[in-house]
Amino acid sequence: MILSDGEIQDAINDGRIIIEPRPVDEQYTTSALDLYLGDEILELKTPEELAREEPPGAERPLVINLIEVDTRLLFSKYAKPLPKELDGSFLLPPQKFVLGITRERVTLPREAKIAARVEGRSTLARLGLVVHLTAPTIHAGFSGPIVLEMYNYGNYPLRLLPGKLAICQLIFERLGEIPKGHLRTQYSDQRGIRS
Amino acid sequence: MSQSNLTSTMTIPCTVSLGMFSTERGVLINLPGGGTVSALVDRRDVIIDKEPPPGGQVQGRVHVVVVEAKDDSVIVDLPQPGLMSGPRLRVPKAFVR
Repeated sequence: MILSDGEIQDAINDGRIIIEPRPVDEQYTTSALDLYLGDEILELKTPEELAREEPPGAERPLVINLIEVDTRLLFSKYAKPLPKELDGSFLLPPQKFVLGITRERVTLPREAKIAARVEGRSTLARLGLVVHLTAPTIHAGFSGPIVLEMYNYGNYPLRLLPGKLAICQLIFERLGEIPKGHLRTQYSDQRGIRS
Repeated sequence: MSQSNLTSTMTIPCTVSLGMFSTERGVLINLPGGGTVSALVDRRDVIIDKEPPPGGQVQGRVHVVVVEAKDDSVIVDLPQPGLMSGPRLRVPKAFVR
């Protein structure tokens, strides 16, 4: 069941959903909560940029082996910050893929039996902006800002202003039961787990 | 529900590096038998004595939730999915504290 605006507010009030900073009234819709764009956007380096970082003389086709990708190198090797405009905004050109992040930290305690889905906003979508490509689920137990896989399918550059642009919405749903492992005391009396 | 109830106090060892976003940290968990699991997690989910330098790494621990214990191993959930695997992995009991 999807939570209504009142149910979302109740859950925030009693700590079953934690949003930092705390949402203002304007962020609520009847059955979702809007989140704002955060202050960082990353773009992927072009194949030419990656090739320039290869050792001199090295010529090999650029293929990313997904099984062997080292997460720790994702940023240093493949990504770089998208520069801000003078007014503090980001300009997202047409046919460009970037990674964004929400301003808000979202925490969904396991005990609360609540998960969420991140969805785009229809007005932005009409201009061609997609904010998640394949990973909409915010699992119970999640805590942190939400990373957005953003793509401008439109014909025009889009100006994105951090902290001002409601970039996505969260839809909250109830789980049928508490996920496994919700109680830290569940195994605390068993030998060998705690050192 | 208090904030202290929100995160498991259990941790497993890992090496920690900077993440993609400033709010993230990269963790690498070395499993027995030579396997590794890497993931990007929220910076609040790692315990380190000092921040890793750009391009470098430090030893630390990452919060996990213990899902199930079997024999000498436990199944734990990482705070976020590993890059190419789910968040759930099996580690020796001795890893967890």
